Amino acid sequence: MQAGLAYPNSFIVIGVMPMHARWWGRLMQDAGQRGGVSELRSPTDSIGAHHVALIRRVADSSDRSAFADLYTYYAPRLKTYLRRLGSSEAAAEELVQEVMLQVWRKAALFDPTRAAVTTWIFTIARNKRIDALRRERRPEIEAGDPPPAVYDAPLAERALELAYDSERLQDALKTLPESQATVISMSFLEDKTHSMIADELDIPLGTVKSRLRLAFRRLRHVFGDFA
Amino acid sequence: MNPRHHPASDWLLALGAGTLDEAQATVVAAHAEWCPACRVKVDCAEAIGGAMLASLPPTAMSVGAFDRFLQCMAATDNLREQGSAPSLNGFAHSGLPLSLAKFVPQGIDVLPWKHLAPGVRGVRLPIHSRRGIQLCLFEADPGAVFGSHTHGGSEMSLVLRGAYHVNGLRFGPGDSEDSEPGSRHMAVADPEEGCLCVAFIEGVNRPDGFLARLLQPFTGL
Ligand SMILES: [Zn+2]
Repeated sequence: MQAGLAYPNSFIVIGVMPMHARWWGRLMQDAGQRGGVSELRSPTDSIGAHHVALIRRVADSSDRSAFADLYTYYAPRLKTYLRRLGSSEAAAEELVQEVMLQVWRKAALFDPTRAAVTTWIFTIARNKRIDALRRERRPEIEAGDPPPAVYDAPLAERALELAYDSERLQDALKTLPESQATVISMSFLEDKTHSMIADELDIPLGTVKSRLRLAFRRLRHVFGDFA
Repeated sequence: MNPRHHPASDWLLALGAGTLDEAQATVVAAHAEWCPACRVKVDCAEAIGGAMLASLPPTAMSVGAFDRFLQCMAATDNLREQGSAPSLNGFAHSGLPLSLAKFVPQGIDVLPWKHLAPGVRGVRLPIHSRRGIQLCLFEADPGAVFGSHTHGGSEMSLVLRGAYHVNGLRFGPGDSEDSEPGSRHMAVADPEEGCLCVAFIEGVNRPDGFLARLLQPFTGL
């Protein structure tokens, strides 16, 4: 078990999806009616949808094997994220454990109609890290817990879209022009403010901002809701 | 009514990325609570973060990390949420956006307001800042003039109540005004309602900042 967990790719068994959850069956049915099944079978899509199903199993039945799969996938990626943001090896692991503990505890609060699993986990990690930096300030109630998830048919479809969008975003990130990809990456993965990016790249602040806006606009097109 | 003046999208992106200083994050997030359009953009920024997380190469956790996790999990399992989260919709009892209300748990009336100019009061909120960026509330009586200065560092204000007018534009509740360094400024509080605003102020030690100058008397600079 231990060895398997150290290697994040071991879990990826595309196509073998847990079908016991009631909503999941509905989700599949719904997608089928809308002609979405072919999309659902695309390999990238199944990872995000699979993670939604895993979270649901954790929430519904405290399913530890489902959680172990999530841990195997996310813990090593979270560690990379936190290391890049400047945490030490030990601090990064500590924070990863805190993030995953939050995932375990709050699985019932995850709402797949608001965000993909990876987005939800990203926000937990981002907030944990910010909290760690601000720890000298008084402890506070965590704002931002979403209301409990409600699973019905149209929402299940929305959840599927979000999971799918997240993977299309990953593809879109790879197609950004170098200059835009650099500023996005420095912003998200190096914790650089816009002025720090400007200093480091030796370009005007206005150029950093306009590159970020251009990249953001382009990435937002993935969601389709935008002009 | 939804706000008409929004922070530039790079601010919303930075909020999602987590790179804003706490004062900046508070003002931008407070606007997003008011503004469905900007909330969607923040959601998008977070989705970009999620996509980046999923795309990262894994770094192996140390040996036994998952076992240690399981022990910790077993020890604290009574803390699990059962699916009854407090709903986070809109505003605190004080009528302030939640992201701001947490800094003024007793409401704004008990804050140590200081006189800044005729008809204008301000107060600095206690906040952690890595970069010396301050979070301030200011309140102006109807018709009060804030002044006309050149900005020093970047500043952003958000109207909480009432309105003010700048260069023929009206900034009402939920509107944010993003002032780049060097921009000109001439603000007049609404002649009937006055205004209550929150703002973050960068580079308070630069005497030419509009809010910075306004707030000098109580920032001690
Ligand atoms: Zn807005």
